[in-house]
Amino acid sequence: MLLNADVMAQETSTFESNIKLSYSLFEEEGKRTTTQDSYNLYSGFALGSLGFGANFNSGSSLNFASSNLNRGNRDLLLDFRRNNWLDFKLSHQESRFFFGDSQTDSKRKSSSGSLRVSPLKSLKLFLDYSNQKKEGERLGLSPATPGVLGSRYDQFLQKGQIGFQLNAKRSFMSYSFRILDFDSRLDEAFDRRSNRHQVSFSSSALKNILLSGQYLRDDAQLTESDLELNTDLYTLALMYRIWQGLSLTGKLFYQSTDNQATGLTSKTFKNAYNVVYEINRRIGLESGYEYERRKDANGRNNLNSFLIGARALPLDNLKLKANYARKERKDKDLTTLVGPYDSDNFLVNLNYKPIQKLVIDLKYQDRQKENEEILTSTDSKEFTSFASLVYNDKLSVDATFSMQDIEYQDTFGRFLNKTRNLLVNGALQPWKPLKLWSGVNFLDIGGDLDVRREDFNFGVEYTLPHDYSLEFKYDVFNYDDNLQAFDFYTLNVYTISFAKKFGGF
Amino acid sequence: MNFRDNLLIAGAVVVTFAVFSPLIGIQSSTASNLAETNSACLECHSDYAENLKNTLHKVTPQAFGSKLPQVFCTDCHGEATKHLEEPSPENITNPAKSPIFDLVKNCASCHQSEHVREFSESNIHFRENIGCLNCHSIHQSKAEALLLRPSVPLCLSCHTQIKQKLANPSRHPVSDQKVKCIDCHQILKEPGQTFSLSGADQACFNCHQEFQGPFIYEHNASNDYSIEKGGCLSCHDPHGSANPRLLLQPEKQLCQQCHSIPKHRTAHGGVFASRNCGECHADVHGSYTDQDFFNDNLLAQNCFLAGCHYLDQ
Repeated sequence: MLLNADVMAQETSTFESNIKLSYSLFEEEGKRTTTQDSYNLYSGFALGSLGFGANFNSGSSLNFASSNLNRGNRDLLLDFRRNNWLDFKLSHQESRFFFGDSQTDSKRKSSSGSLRVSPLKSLKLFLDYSNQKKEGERLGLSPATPGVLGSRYDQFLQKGQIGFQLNAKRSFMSYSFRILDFDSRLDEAFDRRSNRHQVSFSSSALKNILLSGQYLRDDAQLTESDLELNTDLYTLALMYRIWQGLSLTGKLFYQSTDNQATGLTSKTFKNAYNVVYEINRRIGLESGYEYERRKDANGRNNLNSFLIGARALPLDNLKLKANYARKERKDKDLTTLVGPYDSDNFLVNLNYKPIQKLVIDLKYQDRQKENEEILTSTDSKEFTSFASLVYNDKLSVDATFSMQDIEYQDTFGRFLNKTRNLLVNGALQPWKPLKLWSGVNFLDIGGDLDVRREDFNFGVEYTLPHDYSLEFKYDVFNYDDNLQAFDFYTLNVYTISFAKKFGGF
Repeated sequence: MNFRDNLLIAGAVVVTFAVFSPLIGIQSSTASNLAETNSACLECHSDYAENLKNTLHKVTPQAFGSKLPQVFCTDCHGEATKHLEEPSPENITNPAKSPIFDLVKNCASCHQSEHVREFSESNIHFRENIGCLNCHSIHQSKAEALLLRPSVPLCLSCHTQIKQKLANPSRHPVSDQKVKCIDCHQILKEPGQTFSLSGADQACFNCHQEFQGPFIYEHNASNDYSIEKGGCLSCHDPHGSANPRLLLQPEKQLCQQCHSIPKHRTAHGGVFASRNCGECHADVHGSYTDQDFFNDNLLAQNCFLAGCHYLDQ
């Protein structure tokens, strides 16, 4: 055997680890509820990050990453892999949300574990478990009134899944079974369970065809009243290359949902077709059609959707794209509350790379929706420009500016939202041990609202000898709602961190 | 679901297993051929060997002949004899230069997953001529799933309009690194995850389970399976909104789009005309006690004692 093992990835064990200690100082004023970015920031000392990674000469690897271990926003991830046939993961995450007057907060804790084993090339077994705990206080939507939803909630969601996948000849077939248990510890009426079976397959074994399908059965049950919601879902999809550059995709979809609460069985049937034609390297066309029919004992309606699009590459560094989509729902017996509607969606996109490291992207999207029977309409116009520059791995800057005008109209009045947003981020590494970065976010929400946000951050990291490093960060968040006098917030965060990396062996 | 239904499903699984079983375990190349060819590849392309070392695409001497999943250069680049004799780019398959359809089929020869299945379902990325290599860097990346960069910035590098949504006062905690794009737009996970065809609500219910039915009194606007074709997205913008709780409009106006109930403007001297609907109709996602989604707590406010309003038990 002519095997030159020297040139291959020789297995030598390596071990790396890191630790980062941080201290944050807050200057805070106003209502914290207004600024989501502040919810998971904490002042004081933090074990900012702690992690290690080991690659063993047997082909195994073990990685552990964590952040903010001593705080209420901690994140942990442990991953063990054994060559390409075993993967075991554990993760835990915590976060919090502020509601109402900023004095109340809600805590979320999520944990999960997964095991993937491939005892054969053609077989994969998997086992998953996850849970999520939501607990906290809640105020009513209007701060002046008591919460009609109750002042507290305490929910625990658990999911477990087991399954297998068979791979053979560019095809797979899989089966999974999932059990879900939702426990509302303050009100048993909310408790529910569901069992889900899913069988799916996909095949690319035939030369010009990708074929896939699935069957899913989900049975959800309210445990206190025994009411059930049963869903059967079937899909079949095909992607067929008719000849080079011309491909057709089609899908069939059928869903039947039997709701014992309403006594209704809702049936949805869809079929959709798309044709993509690459005329040559410079020009491509697409078109599509989808028909959807919905039916229950009270009535039926249908939805027709159309799509046409084109893209062009007039220059090697310039891409142009335009799409137009239209939807029309017919409901001649007016069996639904919102009645018939139609919507139009137009998108045009330009992407230009004047030089290799500079990208400029412009998008314009116009969306209209009209419900003729209930006299409501939506008119949305959106423009986004994006530019990104990367120079010699030492400088990177990207900037996004977007404008969005949305007008909702109904028989009582209208709501107008005019949003302007500028995001700029940059990073500079003038020489190896020194990294600088900064970012700004300006958000102006006008129309029937009057909200301003200005965020700024700046950071510097200096790497000292022996893999020690020092980092300083400054973040400022500023929020003003000019229509709600008490909805303002300013937060200055100063963070200093000290980190050490431990090398391999 | 009764015993017979479970039995039917189990039967379907066994039959499918039986159909697929004969296809398993066929290998085209012998171990010695593989070793010879692939070691020759890495003699010239030694930088790739180094880059791939800590990834699932690493090529190791132990891999040859193994019955476990392994990856070799020739799995993607095909027959290499001609290239070995005359090492020019023309003499070897380069998947990066293939049409998207071929590229996907090439990757799918190993990566059989929901990700591939989803791709065949009128996938928008396919229609936009975007394939595996637009997100994954096979030889260069050392990140998870060989992504070009962490998944959120990667998605946002094309979906730039979403950045503005995520800057809004009310948003999903994506920039806080508590939620990733693929948590909802799942196409990358293992079997058992569904999104593309079973409705957007399924993605929401993965975390917000308390809003999934059955409810004794359902609100059709929150059911995406009903003939109303409602669903979470009827009222919420999942990326972000200027309004609290990701609402598309301020709450009162949002409800008024579909519900025009004039009495609310005049009753009790019009005091409720300026109030949010949710202050009384609290359980708008569906109720266990009342068809108008009133909460029991309203009893304490005496709304149901005078005989004007009734709480449906």
